[in-house]
Amino acid sequence: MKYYFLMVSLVLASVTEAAAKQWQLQKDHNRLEFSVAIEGSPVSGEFTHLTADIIFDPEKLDQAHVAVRIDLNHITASYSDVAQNLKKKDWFDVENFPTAQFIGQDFKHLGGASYQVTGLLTLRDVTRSEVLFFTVTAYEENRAAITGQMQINRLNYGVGQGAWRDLSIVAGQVFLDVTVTATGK
Amino acid sequence: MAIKNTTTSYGIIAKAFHWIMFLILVGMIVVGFYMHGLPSDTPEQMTYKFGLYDLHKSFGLLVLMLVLLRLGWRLINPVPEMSGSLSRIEALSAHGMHMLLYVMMLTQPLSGWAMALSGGHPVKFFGVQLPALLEKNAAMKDLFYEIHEIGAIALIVLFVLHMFAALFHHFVRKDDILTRMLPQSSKTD
Repeated sequence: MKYYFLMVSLVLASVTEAAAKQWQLQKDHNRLEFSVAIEGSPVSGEFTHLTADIIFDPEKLDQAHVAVRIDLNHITASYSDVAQNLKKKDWFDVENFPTAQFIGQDFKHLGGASYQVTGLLTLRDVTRSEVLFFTVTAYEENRAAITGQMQINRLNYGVGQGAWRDLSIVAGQVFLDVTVTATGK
Repeated sequence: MAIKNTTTSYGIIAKAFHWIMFLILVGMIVVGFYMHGLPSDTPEQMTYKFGLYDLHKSFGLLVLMLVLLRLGWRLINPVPEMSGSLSRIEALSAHGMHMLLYVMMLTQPLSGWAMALSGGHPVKFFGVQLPALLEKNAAMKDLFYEIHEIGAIALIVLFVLHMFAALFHHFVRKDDILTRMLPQSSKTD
């Protein structure tokens, strides 16, 4: 019985060893910011509550996988009007769609420390393919950090309904900037 | 009416500074409190609200320029003496009040400007984009917001005291403290 337990442990250990590394977000070291032009002036804000499951190893990109969930109830913005509006029915409609998510597993090395991951972004009731470009700024045994950018068109997701579809007031192009530090699991 | 001040009367430039800034400051305080509470639920409401913010910022920068020019003008002009009917204490407190008014007229535009910049908002002067001299910083924004809000109330208090002092001089003391700042007064030496 003892041998059996030892063998199972060894097999499990080797399996974990072989799989690409798992990471978890380090608390308070993550920023997901957005920026959008309102009447020509940039307005920025932040999604402050995110969680993520990350499997990433530059040597094993085919196994890499990322799932990020964003709690849309927690948004700050340089104009508090914007932060409040975003939760309303015409925008994220957080009552019906409280979370946004991005699930990516198609990773590509772009050279140097640069990568891209194509995945499915879900906002409200729309899921579309989007690309996150990112740079690995630190990769150590137990700590890794990236900065990334994604550009999306809010109208593709129905974010800004009715009169808010007018792009001369709030631009369609939204810039997302993410900075994440993760620790090995 | 003389362009420059004399030791007993205000010239046309000093009076123009006084009354133009009075009109702008009253407008700024009214619009400042009004725009803050406006809704922005529709594009029209937001355009109106943000448009007022832009106007408030432009006029705030104008106030800053005017108060600097006014201080400069004050430096190269004699300040008309206080009426002889004022006691030493009264003259000192009047002088202190005027200094406080200048301090607040400088604090308000500066704190407003700093609040906008540290809040991540570019500031335009009637459409002309100005460089962002401060970085975005949420804690600084909160600090400048508090200064700006308390400053507005302080300015209102000072303004009311200033006004009552002028009315007191005119109706109770019956001296020329109020009338010598009136636009049409053309008292000569």
